[in-house]
Amino acid sequence: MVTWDLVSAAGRAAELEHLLGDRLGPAAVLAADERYELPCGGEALLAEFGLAEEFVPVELGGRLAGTDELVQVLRAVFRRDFALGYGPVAGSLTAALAVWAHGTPTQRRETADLLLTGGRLTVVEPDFAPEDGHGDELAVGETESGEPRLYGGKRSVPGIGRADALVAYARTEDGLRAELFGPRELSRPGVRRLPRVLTEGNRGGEQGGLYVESLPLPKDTGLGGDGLALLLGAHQITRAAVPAMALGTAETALRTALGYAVDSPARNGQPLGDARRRDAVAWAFADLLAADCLFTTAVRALHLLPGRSSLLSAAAKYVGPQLMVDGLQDLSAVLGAETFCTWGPYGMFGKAQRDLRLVHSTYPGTPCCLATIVPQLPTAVVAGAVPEALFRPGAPLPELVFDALAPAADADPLGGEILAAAEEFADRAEPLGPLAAALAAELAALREGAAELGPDSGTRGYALGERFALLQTAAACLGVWRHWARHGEDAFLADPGWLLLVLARLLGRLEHPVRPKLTESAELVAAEALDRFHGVRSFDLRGIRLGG
Amino acid sequence: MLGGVATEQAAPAATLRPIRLVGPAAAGGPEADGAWAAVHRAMTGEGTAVVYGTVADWQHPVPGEPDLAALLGRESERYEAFDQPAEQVRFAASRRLVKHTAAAVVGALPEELDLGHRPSGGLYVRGVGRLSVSLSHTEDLMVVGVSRRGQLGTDVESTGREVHEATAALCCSPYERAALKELAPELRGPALLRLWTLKEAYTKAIGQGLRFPFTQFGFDLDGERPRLCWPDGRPREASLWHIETHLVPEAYRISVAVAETTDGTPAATVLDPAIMAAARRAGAVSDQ
Repeated sequence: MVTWDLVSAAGRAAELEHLLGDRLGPAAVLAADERYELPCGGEALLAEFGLAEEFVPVELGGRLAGTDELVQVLRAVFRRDFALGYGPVAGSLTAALAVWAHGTPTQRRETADLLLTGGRLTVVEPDFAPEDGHGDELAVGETESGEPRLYGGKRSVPGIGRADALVAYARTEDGLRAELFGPRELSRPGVRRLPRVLTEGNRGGEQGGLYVESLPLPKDTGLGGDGLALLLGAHQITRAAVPAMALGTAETALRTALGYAVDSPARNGQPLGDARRRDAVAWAFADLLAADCLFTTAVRALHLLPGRSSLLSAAAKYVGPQLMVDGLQDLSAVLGAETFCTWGPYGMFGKAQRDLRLVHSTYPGTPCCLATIVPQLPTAVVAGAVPEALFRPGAPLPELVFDALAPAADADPLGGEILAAAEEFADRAEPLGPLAAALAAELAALREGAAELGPDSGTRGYALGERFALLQTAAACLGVWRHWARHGEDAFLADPGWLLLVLARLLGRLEHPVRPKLTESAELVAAEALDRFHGVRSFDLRGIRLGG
Repeated sequence: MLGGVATEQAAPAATLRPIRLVGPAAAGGPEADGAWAAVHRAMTGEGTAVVYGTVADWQHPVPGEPDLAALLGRESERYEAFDQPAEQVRFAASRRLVKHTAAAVVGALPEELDLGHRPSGGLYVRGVGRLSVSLSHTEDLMVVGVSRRGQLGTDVESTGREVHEATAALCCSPYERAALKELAPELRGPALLRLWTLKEAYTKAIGQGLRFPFTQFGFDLDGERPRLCWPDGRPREASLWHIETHLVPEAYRISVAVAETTDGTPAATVLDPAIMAAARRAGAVSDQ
């Protein structure tokens, strides 16, 4: 008999891995996806595990302690089915974070009780692209007697059909106001849930609209503090954590592609027996590792560097999904026509592509990350001290203090790591020296460009914002290797081979002309991918044993 | 009669007819103005526009253009690296066409755009995630596609280009090979050229180009709105793809594939001013 170590997040992630692995197969997931439904019994399995407890802070009776732990647990769900994980995360978790941060003791208690007894929350976010003129948001106006009232509509609210309560952000004349509505408000006349909207990614996910004709605002539903500050703080957490969880979906795509390579080997009988396949697998695995370096660092920064994490979280949401989508795109050349199959042994690949594209291109969430980065670029030319603990997956973290999450950073969070690495590797003849030097040169060019940016920087600012995010990613990868991987027991991660591939690919994205020959590294990384496939281990930094 | 299926069913009308651009919006006179108006109409109506021009049209600096280095930005090094002056001329002309088209669509200045490449080689405008761009050229003709619907690929070939029938074995699906064989011999070349441009456009749109095995997917053999098929000719559930192919008067075949993955709201990266202002305000406070 196996007894699980339920106290540690690693133990809980392993328990969930095995629970889902044993009882939720890809065939059932694909069949449900075809019907735009969640896999039969999926939610019951999550309830059996007690997923909701993961969203509730320990002091309120749950198990939520650290964001990195939360990511580990949810990644197990995203490995099985994107929609099964995304639903509770985009709804209950995102809403609950705002309540834990700024709710009254009563609101916190009631929300915790709701979640722990199987209730669901969701969130109505404001329109992030008001210039589009769609007015896709709720707003606060006045009743005839001068009392505040809520009105307006939102087209896409995750899980609105079954939500028992919701956090609503509503536009006011000078910002946002956040309210927590329960069943009492949701059942008022003039508050309507609109029918479900189907989406091509996250097919099983239930999204619908909310229409509020007019709702006088109750006195006791407001969440404390400034609504915009609350939203920005909550975004810092979700922008880092949600793509980090979704890495599980990209892992499954890589696993599926390797399954195809094993089933239909190249002409010489080897699964990765030709250079095209080997490179596609190596680059894709490198992209996933780069994404996990960025996610790990951004998630840990919420606890360790909250004064600057706004920039890192925005970079994680902006670059991370792009890395996953790019990696999968390379893999599609391995699968050929199987890429398009929505059924059969490799159907999970196409499903992952559809689902991840949703995280990647969800408009306006992703471009909106630039709205956080661009105005901060002139400040981000100042190098800040970089805590090494950022780069150590699983190392203990201090408590996350929501109000310490600054809406704007006072310095560049990770740039210093690039400079330190370039200095350390300056004399290395192998590709590492030139790669680190190239990154340092890119950082210098970025800082020069950022210093020249005017307040109304337009398109030039967006381009620099993207460069900034790519350089933060490179810094995260360097940091993870220098301060964690090279001293570790995992021989693959301790070798710089994967790092070389990752850095070369990031420099390519920056259009830097350096193009080292990395055949050996590609062989090493592709071989490790195949090893992890056969050993049923995850394709993230931890390489944990998977269930099923 | 092969490929007749597509025409017998009421195929949707073509909406992405390529638009010839002979110069930038401001400087081209009434003819150019009409063409640019068509670009804006296409973007408003379809969310996608396909334009083309010759190297001769676009090789000279346009009025008000900063120096070439400023226009090319980070790509200046690539420009300098070309050995042949003719290659440099073509490169500069292609960048001028891409940047003027994309800039008109997002409401920016051409020199403000930073063109980047995805690892798979596809072109994009850095930081303007909602706009897909695609560039292709053959001989002196350049084709640019811009879309805010989703991933996009274009391809162009001269209709005078001879395609050897042996190419079919390398690039066609079993269904396509059989269908080509049933055509009259003089029709096979043009049909193969058409398939080739469609396959190029589609694989560019999925970010793969020639790396993706061309025999693993296909199209039916006629019509301006071909359907995406499985290797055995069964149509794929292709509602997500908008595919067109056109012959233009200059004797080129232009094909385009667009994935309809987004809702098509405007292309500019519009950002919540309140969020930007909050970040600025907070930055100003932390500076004090």
